[in-house]
Amino acid sequence: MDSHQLGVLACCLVLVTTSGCRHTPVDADTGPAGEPQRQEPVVPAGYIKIPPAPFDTPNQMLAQTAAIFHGKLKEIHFTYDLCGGPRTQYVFGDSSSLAGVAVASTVTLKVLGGHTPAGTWVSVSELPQLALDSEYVVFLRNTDWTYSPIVSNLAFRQETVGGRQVLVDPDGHLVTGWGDDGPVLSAELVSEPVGLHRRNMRTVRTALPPQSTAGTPEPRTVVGVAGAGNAGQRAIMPATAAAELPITDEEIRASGMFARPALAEATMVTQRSATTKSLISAVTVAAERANVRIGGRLTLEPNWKCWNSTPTARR
Amino acid sequence: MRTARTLVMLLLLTTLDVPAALAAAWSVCDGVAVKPKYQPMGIFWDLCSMPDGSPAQRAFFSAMYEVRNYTHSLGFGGGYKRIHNGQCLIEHDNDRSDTALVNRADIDGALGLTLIETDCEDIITADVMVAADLNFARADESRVIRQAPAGTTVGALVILHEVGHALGLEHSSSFAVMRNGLSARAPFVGMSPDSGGLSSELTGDDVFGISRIYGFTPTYRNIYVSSQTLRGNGLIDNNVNPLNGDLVWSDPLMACPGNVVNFLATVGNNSTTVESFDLSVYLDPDVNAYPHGLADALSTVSVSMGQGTSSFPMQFTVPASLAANKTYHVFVGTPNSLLTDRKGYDNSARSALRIRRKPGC
Repeated sequence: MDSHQLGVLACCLVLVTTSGCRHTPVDADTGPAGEPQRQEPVVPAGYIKIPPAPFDTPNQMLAQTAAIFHGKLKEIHFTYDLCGGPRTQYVFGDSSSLAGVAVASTVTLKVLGGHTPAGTWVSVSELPQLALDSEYVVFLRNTDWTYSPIVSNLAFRQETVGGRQVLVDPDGHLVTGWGDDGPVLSAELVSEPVGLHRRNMRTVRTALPPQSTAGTPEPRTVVGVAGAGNAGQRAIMPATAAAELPITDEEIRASGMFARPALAEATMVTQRSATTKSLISAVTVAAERANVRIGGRLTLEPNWKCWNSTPTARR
Repeated sequence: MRTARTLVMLLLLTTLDVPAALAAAWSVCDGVAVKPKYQPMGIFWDLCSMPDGSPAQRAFFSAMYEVRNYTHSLGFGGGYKRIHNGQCLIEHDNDRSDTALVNRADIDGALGLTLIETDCEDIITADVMVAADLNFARADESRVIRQAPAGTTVGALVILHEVGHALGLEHSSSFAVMRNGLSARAPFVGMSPDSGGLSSELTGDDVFGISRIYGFTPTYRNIYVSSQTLRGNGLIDNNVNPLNGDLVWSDPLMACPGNVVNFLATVGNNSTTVESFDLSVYLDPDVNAYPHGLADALSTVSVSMGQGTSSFPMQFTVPASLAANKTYHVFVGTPNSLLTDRKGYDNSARSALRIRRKPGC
């Protein structure tokens, strides 16, 4: 290599190292050609999916509501499968429908979020956590969905303070009615959101057993101590029925993630609040006035798409 | 004439000590604030939905630079395309943090969602997804966005909000980008149109939350002006009369020279340093007339405030110079350059209040 070539090389090196690398695209990862189709949720034959739509007006919220139900959150389970992903299953007992279609006495809401096989925890930014042993008024979707069957986070905790029934929204405001933007909320917070303060639950890692030539492999659950072992390792699980992760009720309660936050009762004394009855009345009137029907297909399964990838929009 | 106006202006000069409520929230695990484990946590961007030079990519970079004014816990990963059988996608069960525009139906109809993977107090990855049908250009800061159908110019604000979640911020009920974006709405701040700013930036409340998560005292000194006001739990436009129960003024407000008009002004401070500055009202028929100097001020107040955002009544007298058959926009801004202020381009905002000379006066 002569000095001229060395000079050219040096110039190239200078250009490469100073040419604004931060915004330069990395090599496009196009994946191998002919990859197998990505998984889709298994739905009954003939099932027609209804896409979830925007919900930034009250009419859009109500048009996507199949039922408004009242129930008590009695149990929480965690499951994982390849398509559904990590799910927090909120099990409501003593449930009854307040508007729209009827619900069973036990309603299970399979909200995305929870333990992964690698032992980590997945949460979704705009979805609230719900408090165990609390009564809720919940708006359920009539469209298909991926993340949550609750319409627009309309899940209000029903509390009784000084003999007065009140409703608290997921961010901790009192619900005072139903208006032009949907739920009308108090200016003051009367509660924290559920789950801001938590203690680490033991890490739960789930792995497949060694390959077998017979039968359907069942997930094997490995319970470990937080911070030890194969952190970061991603186990593979079968795409069949969701495997329930064996976390005890005591551990869930001890984690604080689903604990009912204290209420600022002194703040609430001077604040008016809707009751469940008055809220449902206001919602029903608003729906009638807008010629929107609360009802349709109650969709309690995450049938829209699998959790582990999202198609991006071509621009 | 100018001397007389300056005299009137000085007579109107008032000093306001404005308090501001802070309500930023963040999660804590085992007593430690939840934040990215490996900092800076590189966030990649999907080149299918956010191609080079696109408004969406620019909005994402703008959000990242805004965050990096306060903390370097997030970094630029790189642009990439993951194409699977002809379809671009982002994957959530990998070890990478991604940002992409997606169809609303794929995020349950929301404007944005962030999937966060944590190990107690450590954020391992965060995948930011924003509705692709939004507009990512500079927003009109004079109006609160109440509905966001396809095409609404709120994309940059949604990206910044979701990036805030990647930082570890939770929702706030204060005047903050991190306000719950559903029924509560989130605020814009004013930005000069030639600045490259998109009218979306972190407020004092957001910075308060970041400083608590990362354990520092915010020293990035920045004052901003907004045309939006927190009332109860909602954001409203500032074209209201605070002396008459926040009655909304007609648009445009028909007025005669000499009439006194009351409305609301909103200012904020990102740092914990108590800042003192002047705030003025001026009129201009040009929608992009920012900023103006002290000579154009119809009234001026002197403000002293610590971290946060605050709104207060502002008053001005309709000038005799108001031309007939012209609609004037009411601007609020800091008339003087502040040597310690880091972003001069967010110091003026066009309000929702517009004014027109009443026929016959």
